[in-house]
Amino acid sequence: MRFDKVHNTYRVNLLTKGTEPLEGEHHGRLAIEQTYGYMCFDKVCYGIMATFNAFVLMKRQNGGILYMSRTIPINSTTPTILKLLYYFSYLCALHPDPYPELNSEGIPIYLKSAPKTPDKAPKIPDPNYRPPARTTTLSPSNTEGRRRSARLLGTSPTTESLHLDVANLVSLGCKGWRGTLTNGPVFVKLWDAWKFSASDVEHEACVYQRLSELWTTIVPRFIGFGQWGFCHILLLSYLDVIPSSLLL
Amino acid sequence: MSAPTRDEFLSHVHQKLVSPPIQNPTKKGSPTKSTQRYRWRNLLPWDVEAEARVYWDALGDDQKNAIVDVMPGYWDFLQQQLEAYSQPFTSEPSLRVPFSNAFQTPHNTAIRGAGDAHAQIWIEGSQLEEQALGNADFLMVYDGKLCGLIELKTWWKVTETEIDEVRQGT
Repeated sequence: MRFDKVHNTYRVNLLTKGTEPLEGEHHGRLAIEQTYGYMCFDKVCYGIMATFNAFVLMKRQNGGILYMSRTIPINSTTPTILKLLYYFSYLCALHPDPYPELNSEGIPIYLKSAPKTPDKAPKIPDPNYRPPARTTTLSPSNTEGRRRSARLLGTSPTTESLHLDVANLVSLGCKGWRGTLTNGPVFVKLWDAWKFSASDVEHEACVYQRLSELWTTIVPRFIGFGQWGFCHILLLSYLDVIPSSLLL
Repeated sequence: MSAPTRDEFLSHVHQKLVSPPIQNPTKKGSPTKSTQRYRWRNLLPWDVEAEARVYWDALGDDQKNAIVDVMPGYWDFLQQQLEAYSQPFTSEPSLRVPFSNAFQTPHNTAIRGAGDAHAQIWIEGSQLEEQALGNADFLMVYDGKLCGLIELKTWWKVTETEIDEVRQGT
């Protein structure tokens, strides 16, 4: 239900959607993304992108909302740029305290770095997104002396500790592994926790939860997620797929 | 000639600077490499000009008619300065001095003695309570705190058409 509400809100708020390409050398996009990025990193509400000959005034609100003026030419008289600046500096003085982007729990979000290319910039995450309750916390069992430090996460009563046997992990390529839980084989996705944010695994878990009606049909059953040693871990039921070449 | 009122002073209209010759119109130069770019979720129009008109109309006459402490003929002198600026405009840094002359100094002069609070425009923020993480060309500072920023771009790279493409609704 919450997702539906979020979706509706998103639709209502999207009054304007740019037509510029989101990748490649589009100087207008890059300039506005850079100014907006500075506003987010510096936790300020107000910013201006100016070319001397023209001005774009911007203000931001939490939740990735950006208000943007038209391109105002330097020779504008209704009002003049100097009067606009006078008003703009008044607005700035009204909001002198830091204004960071916050998540749904009121915690400042971690801002990622954009690539040093004209490629797509990171996007402010959905402020209404709530991470799913951690149903599984996994600690690696250490049956053959392969050392992994067990780190239990969370103190939620819904958290359950599962044990994945290191010795029985079989690489399926990329981040995929086949492992064994108490009840049988599982598909395990492992990736670096030191390198990627926990919100990534939470988001992926959320997607699987949304697809729960399709579990065991075209989508494997979601078992849980958590942290496993130095890795994020996502557990799915193991589907033994018959290669199409064998079906012919 | 007497010193201008705040209304007269801020009613001055600057003229556009002249573009540099474009040697290769198909290649406008490398784009920004800032790693602090970010993408918004929702983009909404802001009629800041209408807001500014309402704000200005509501200002008391004592504020509008307050004398700004500049020498008579200030804008003529400034125009001469801008015209005498001999360094070619080739990049964002080359626009900082003209921008500072045309906007920063006059703005910071005009807000002196204002009846309401205004942020000053600074060129760097080493004296701020909290250091800026971004690298904006100018900072809006009030009470020692960063509360806004100004990013300069060159007009021959960032065009109105491109800005409209970002802003335009579909």
